[in-house]
Amino acid sequence: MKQNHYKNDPDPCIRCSICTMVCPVSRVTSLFPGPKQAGPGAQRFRKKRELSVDPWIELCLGCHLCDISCPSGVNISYINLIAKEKFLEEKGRPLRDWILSHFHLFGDLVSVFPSLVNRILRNYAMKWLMDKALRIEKDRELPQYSNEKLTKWFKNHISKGKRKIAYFYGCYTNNHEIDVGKAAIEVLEANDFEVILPKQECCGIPMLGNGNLKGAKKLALKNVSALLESINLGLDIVFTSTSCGHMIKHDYDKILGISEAKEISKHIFDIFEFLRNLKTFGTFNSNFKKLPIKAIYFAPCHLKALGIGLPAIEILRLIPDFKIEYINVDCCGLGGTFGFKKEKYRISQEIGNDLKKAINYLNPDIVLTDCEGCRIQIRHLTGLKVLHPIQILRDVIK
Amino acid sequence: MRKGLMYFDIIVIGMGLSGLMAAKTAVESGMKVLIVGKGMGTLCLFSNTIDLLGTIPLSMEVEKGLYKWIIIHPEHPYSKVGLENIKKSFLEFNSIFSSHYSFKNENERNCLIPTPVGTLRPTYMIPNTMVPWNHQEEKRVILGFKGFKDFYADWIARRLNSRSITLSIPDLIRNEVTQIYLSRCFEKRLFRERIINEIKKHLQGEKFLGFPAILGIEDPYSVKSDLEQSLEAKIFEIPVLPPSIPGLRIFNRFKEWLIAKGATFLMGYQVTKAILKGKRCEGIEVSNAPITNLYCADRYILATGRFIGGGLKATSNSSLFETIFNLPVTKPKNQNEWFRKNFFDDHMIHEMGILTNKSFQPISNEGDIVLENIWVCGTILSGHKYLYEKSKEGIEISTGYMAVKSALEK
Amino acid sequence: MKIKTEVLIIGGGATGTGIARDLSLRGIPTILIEKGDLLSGASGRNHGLLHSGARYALTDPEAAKECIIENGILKKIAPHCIEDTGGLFVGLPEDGSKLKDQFIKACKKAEIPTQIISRDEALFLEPNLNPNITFCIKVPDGAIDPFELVFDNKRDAEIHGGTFFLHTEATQIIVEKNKVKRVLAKDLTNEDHYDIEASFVINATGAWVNHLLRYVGLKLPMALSKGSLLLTNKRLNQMVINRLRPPSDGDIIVPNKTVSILGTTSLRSEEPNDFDVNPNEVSLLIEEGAKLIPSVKSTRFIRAYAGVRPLFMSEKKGDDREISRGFVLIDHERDGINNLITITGGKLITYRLMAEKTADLICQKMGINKTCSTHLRPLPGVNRKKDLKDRLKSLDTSLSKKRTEILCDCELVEREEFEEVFKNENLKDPLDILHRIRLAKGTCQGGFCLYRLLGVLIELNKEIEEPVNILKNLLEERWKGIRPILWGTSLQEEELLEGIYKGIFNLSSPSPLPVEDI
Repeated sequence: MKQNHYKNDPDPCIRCSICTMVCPVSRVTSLFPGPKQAGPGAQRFRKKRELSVDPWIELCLGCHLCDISCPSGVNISYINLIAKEKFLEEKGRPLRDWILSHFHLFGDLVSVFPSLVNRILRNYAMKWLMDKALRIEKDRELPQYSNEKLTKWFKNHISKGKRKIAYFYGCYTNNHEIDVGKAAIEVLEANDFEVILPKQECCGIPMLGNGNLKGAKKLALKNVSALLESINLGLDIVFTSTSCGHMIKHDYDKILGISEAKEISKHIFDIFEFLRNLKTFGTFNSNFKKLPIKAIYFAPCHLKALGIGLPAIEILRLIPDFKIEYINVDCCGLGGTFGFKKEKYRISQEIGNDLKKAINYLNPDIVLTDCEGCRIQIRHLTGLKVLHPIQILRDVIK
Repeated sequence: MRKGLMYFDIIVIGMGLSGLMAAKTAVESGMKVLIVGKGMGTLCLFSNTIDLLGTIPLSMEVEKGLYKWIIIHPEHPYSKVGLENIKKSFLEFNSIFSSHYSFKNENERNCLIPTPVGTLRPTYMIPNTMVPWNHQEEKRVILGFKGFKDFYADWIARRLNSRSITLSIPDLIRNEVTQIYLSRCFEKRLFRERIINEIKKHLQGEKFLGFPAILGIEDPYSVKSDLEQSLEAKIFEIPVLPPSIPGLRIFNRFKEWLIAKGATFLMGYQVTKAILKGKRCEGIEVSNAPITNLYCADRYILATGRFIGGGLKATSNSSLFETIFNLPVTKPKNQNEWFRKNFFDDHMIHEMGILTNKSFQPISNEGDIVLENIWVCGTILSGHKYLYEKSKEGIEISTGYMAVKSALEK
Repeated sequence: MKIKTEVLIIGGGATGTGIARDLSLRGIPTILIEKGDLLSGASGRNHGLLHSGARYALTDPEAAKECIIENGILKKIAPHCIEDTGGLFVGLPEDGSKLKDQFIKACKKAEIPTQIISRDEALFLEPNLNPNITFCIKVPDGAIDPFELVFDNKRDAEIHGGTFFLHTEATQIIVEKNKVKRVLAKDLTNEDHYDIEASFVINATGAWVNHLLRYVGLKLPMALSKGSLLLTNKRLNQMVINRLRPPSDGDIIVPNKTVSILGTTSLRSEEPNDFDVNPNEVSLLIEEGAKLIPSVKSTRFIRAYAGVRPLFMSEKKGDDREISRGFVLIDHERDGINNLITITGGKLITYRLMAEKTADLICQKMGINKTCSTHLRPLPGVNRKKDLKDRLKSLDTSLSKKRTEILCDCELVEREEFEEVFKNENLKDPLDILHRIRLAKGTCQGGFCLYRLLGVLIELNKEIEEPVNILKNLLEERWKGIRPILWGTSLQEEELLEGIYKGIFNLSSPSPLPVEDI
């Protein structure tokens, strides 16, 4: 967010339309009027005490591409988010949206019989039913649960290292993609860190994306007090999910107004950002095996919003014989829970088609990206193997 | 190690053409480069073509015209860069583009291209999707699209003695289309086929077809060639209201190139503070609320442009200043005098800017170097009036290049 | 062309148009001529304030009474032109509290309902209000759109037989035997000439009364008072906010659709079209406005404009504000011309009353007994209200209606609306359409949409000449309102627009000398 324009102030907008040029949603559907109109444009017409008449505001993905392109510093996605919150508070949220933004609650239940649940989630009849009853798009593969939670695996794992570090794994890694978590832990240990897993809740971004700021704040407050404990012990915190990381590092204070989170912001890093810092100070383990494959790296929207450059590429370039190319396409189109909703699926796919085309043209062995949402979407679009870059790093460390 | 400390050889502040050019020049010299910008610069607003000095008559070789200009205007950025370096910088600019989409000049001279109001504008280099205007040419058609409100074929055609066709877009369920939407449509073969069929119905043997500048983003030359083959006519693009797709093509090319070569490309973040110690800049703070990140370098290039991106700022009480280093701004007259009575007058405010020495270091009115490790480039410089001279891209390219060259000499 | 009618009205402001409506409703054949478009004078350059009259309660109780009555009437007959925002009179610490009680008493006397509200409630209603206010009184102020109002009056007049000739200027008044025999007029768009014979002529030319009266060798003691106003980019307040002190500069902030209007100043002027806003006025309005709403200091302004008030000087007074804002109806029988009437002075919101009195006088002189019904009959557009919510709906493409493209992105004006007005209104000067739709009234003040407007006009009207010159003139006209507020974001906006018009479009005046001439 640009300086001094925290409020949903439309004044800085000079109507240049650069934001509308970069917006992934408005370029594929006319239902969304584009960031210039949806944000500062409509803001001049909105009155606090009148009912919302902007149903299209739900189509804003919250990708922040408009924010980073705006020459004037308008906080477009923030204006949109506040309008979305108001609209949804008035309209009410369907059960489906509650389910999608409370997915973290099911983790504990499911951990008892993950393979059974996975079979059900793959079952066509079940998906057809969910499509009809809940409007969850049946053509989407639903995230499969891992055999055990990361936290359970970690209980039986001994972490050793000269210094300590805390790891915010995020509920998706914990329940669905524990190998990302394992890889992160192993890489940190290979750099002489003992890993601690602080108590954590869902970061709250699914709720935020569904305009439920109150719900997100409840979760956030819990995370803030848990993470502050680690920080007060002198630990830094790393994250592997750029969505969770951005939420904690920036949105907890900026959007949810939790000022205690400022202290966390100073000490929480994307894992590759952290490793890059180690490299700057000469304490990075860059003893890598060769890896002669061709990879494409896709930068998630929240990584761009973190404003840390592309640290994963910088680190992975050090791997001998490894070819990694940055793909200059913005936004995979999933938008977190957005692409699971039946009425938004087509939009999500249209946005993703550009990425699909570009990936297919480059014909890589593998695609790498830091956000679980992007991984889900790219697998769905291309069928290729998609990993978190930390998994590659773990594989090459001697 | 609490803060994200990052160290570079050169930090370029600003993502307009001068910043991108500076970053490229620095990367080519083997430097570790950070380019940080508040947004995407103004390439995507104005830069459809590459201006050098539009006041040079069409009959005169541009090199000769520049040579004369430099003699008459010693305070102008071109004079500080020098003719040879202007030529070098343009070669450097061109080298980033493939043969597929490249910029060419017309016989070492300025040429004219049509505008969205049917006037003609002098420019120097045009992409190969555009064609220099030839008064002799007859049988021209200008094509517009229903629902594309930023281009009016009737208007342009009338003024340029051409015919006009306004096409309906096949299968259009939306009421209006934008530059980006149309550009993406044209990148699809199916869409092109349908448009071609539509056009064929209306053609009356014309051989020159003018389109708004929306013939694709990634590979416009192929789009154009495809259209030319099917329509058996020569196609040319005409710039439209912002946002500018030709400008976006240039931006994307620079972005790809810089990232591939390992530059750190930080778009969307504002430099909020410069850490100064005596006459040196020790670092810059880039804000991303609630934190700020500190970046340090030996050398800093200020390429923040004028007012749009916030390089210069003016307040209601007549204060006009440079927003990051507070460098002295020339001739900050009283606010009443910044702008003249009529919109189309030559406004004083355009002459205000950062005063530099021949090496593009910022100096005070007395000639003292203000900060030793800062070099300034782009339209924020004083001594030019790019709007009236038609020299915007030329100043950006040449000074972006030269500022880094000078910085590396130190 | 020779025309014969009963009443000729010269002047197409609120008053003249209101008279046309009143007379037409009474069945009296009426013609109105106006040298420009309707609302060329003060009617189109004011604060848009639907007074409750409270502002005049202490200084001019008669005017106050008139106001509150007309306020109620207008809310009934023209609700679609009005936003019933309510108003607040606030006191600041430096104003003391002496006036407060006097004010309430005076309002009561004038039958203006007031209600004291607590500061907390005031801040709840108006979060941007200066938290240091010492007291707050609610009054029935509102915001009115003079353009909607006057054009709807015109419509009603035309429905009942009235005829309007816009862009038609009176060039000569021929008096014979103590009567105006004929009025000669010229159409400024096509050089047509009119020779009008009317039983009665009404001079409703506002600040131009003496320009017209010189044709008959008369002159009225008028003071022209220029008042400047500033438009903000976004609406800062929901209710009208007034400062409770003896009427002074910069006292009022009126919300109007998407913006707020700060006003006003009062400078003696010599010319009826003295519309330049000078920098001192801008600073003053911001300084005074910030005392009411502190964020005025940092808010973005999009336009400055001025209007000239015609004030009738019954006695020589120092401060123009002290001259009565009440109106004056002069039967020039006293000057030897039996069928000429001048109506002048007044405020926008008493236009209907002014029209009524004028029409009554006409009827009296005609010896007919027709009564006024303008206060009873609603204006024709009464069901056509479109508030901000409705306009925001034009972004919702899921609504069933097949929409056309939005020409003015800032104010959400669709091409369809433009084409409809263009076809129905049959405008002599196509640019008059700018007075009838909200195109170019928003953030960029037409920066993008003036180009689009001309593009569409050319598509609809192939004969339009020299569109590039028209565009340049439009931009120059626009510049007058922009130049006084050029700092901060507005300056960034201008850099963008200069880059478009001087850069991409290459519409500059000749650029610096070509090199070879040196």
